[in-house]
Amino acid sequence: MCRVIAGLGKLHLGYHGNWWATTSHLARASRKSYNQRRKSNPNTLVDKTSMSHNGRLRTHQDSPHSDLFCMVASFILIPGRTSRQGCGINEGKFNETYQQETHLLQVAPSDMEQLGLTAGDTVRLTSDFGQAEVPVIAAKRDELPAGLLFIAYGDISSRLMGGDTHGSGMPTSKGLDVELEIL
Amino acid sequence: MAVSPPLDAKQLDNQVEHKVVQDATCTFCGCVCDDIDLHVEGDKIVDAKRACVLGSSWFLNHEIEHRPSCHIDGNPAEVAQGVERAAQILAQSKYPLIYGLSDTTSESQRVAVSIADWIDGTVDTTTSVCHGPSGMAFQGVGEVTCSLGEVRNRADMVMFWGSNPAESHPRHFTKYSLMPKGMFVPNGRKDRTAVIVDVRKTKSAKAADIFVQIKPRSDFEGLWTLRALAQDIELDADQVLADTGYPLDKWQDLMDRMKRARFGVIFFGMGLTMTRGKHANSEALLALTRDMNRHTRFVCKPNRGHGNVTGADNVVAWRTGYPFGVNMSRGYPRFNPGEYTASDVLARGEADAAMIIASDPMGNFSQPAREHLKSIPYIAFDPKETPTTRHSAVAFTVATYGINVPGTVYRMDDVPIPLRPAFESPHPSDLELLTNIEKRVRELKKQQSAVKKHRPSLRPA
Ligand code: SF4
Repeated sequence: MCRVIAGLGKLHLGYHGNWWATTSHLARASRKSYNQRRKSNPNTLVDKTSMSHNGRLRTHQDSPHSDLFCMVASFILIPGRTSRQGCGINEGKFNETYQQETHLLQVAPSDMEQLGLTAGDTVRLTSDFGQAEVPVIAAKRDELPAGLLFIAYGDISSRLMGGDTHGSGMPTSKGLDVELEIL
Repeated sequence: MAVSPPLDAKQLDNQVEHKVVQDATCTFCGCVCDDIDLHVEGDKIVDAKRACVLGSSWFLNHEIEHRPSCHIDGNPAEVAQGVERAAQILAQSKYPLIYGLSDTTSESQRVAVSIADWIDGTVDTTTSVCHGPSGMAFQGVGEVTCSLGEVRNRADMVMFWGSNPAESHPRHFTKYSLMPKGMFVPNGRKDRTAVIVDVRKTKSAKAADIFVQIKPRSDFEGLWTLRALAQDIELDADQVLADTGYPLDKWQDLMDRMKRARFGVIFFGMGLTMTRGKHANSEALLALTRDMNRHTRFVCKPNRGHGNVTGADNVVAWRTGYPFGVNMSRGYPRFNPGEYTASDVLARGEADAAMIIASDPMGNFSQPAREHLKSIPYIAFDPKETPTTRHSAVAFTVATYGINVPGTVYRMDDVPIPLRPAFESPHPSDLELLTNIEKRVRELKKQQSAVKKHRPSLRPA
């Protein structure tokens, strides 16, 4: 039975006074709606039309991955520096500190809750240019607003970057649009 | 011949030389702190007084690497063989790229630029993927700036835009910008207003008096809002909120404080240059700084990351006239970011050979750039094993600048600072290798031009 729900839509693009509140709000509504339906009949496909009423959810009924359930949401990814990553560079890039720090996605606690994620769950990030699978962790307190993801610069962030620099020499390396899929 | 008995641990310990290197220079980040006292035991640094968490990890983790100084195609080789192979690769290439240079001395940078010149190559530094857009903006707008010493002694309004020094430059606040008691700010932190503009509430934001949390990718709009307010232009509050995610009255309050400051400074980071807008964002910030000088003294400064990336800009500029992304294929330097910058040259599949010095593009470039680099022969210099050294045709394990090697580096405010190394390394320095490669490349190029001269011409007489 296929139950792939894709695309909470470009949530972050909607702006109604407070962009992160909007993101959370829509995510919450979509998730709630999905959870209700899932509870009422876990083995039945969610009706495509009704799930798509706000244009943010859709089902893939004909997927060959019949046992697969996954949910996809749109986020903005901010790769950046952390002091742990810096220390990891000094210890050696193949050592544990660097590998761990650059392979860990920070998600806002409210997004973790709404997506039903717990620390250590693996998600797939897809940008226009590439794909990467990475475990998640909740960002500290209010460090990250809902709708944003953070990862330390490294292999994962490079895989999601495009090669075009728009005549600047610098590929767009921050503020990347990504789809997050729970695996 | 008599064989002396092996030494026990205590005897060995007594033989280890203990020394203190005063005022050593940390080259991990652009702060280039030159007040570190290193406690050295033999070939190991056991303590780095006054270094921050990153500086300590830089000094304490740089021991002698027990690896061969040279690998060719992944196999251990003599350094001389590596130099020969490197020179052959570069001399035979049609579109060679020399890239990196931000974590080596200015003396090495100078030789690397010379090699690029001899081989008609392209030379680019890690500036192109950190503050390259700011380098472009400097040329368009100019930079009203000052040294970090002036910030320390004068600045009463300290702003950080898209920069998180608490994680990237941990001593920035305490040594230069927020905490020090200066000549005109005698009470230190109490005399200064700290402002952080960012999309995330970073560790740095927690140290600020005012945190301006803007929408992602709205730096340009935020900066132009301030530019408008600096000129008393009326703005639509709803529009400002929609564009920046931050209310107009708060922007106005910030501008009032900026105007009231006696000496303001804006440090900006890659939150600005790596995001949509890139050089347009930097240009807006430089223009805002210029505008503010109608009201009070205001300066700005990019927060540079690598220890000698500022040196790379300086050296490439004084050798070629341009700071990064320079092509020499016509026998004279041409500058064009987007065309001659490493990321583009690789992602478009143009370079047919490369020499990567003290940088790790295989670890942090875009996927298409990494794939192309993997497909061409290249030479890599690094004190440690990295994804870039692993895939190289020739990998040199080099002595670490500032720890094993003396020389000059430039602090982020363009102040040159000497290095005071702690102990010697058995591995060669970048400078030594580059000098040998340059010598051999020149010989090969001479031979090539002699052959060309004697080749019969196909042109009609
Ligand atoms: S602030 Fe930078 S230069 Fe200074 S000790 Fe820390 S890492 Fe080294």
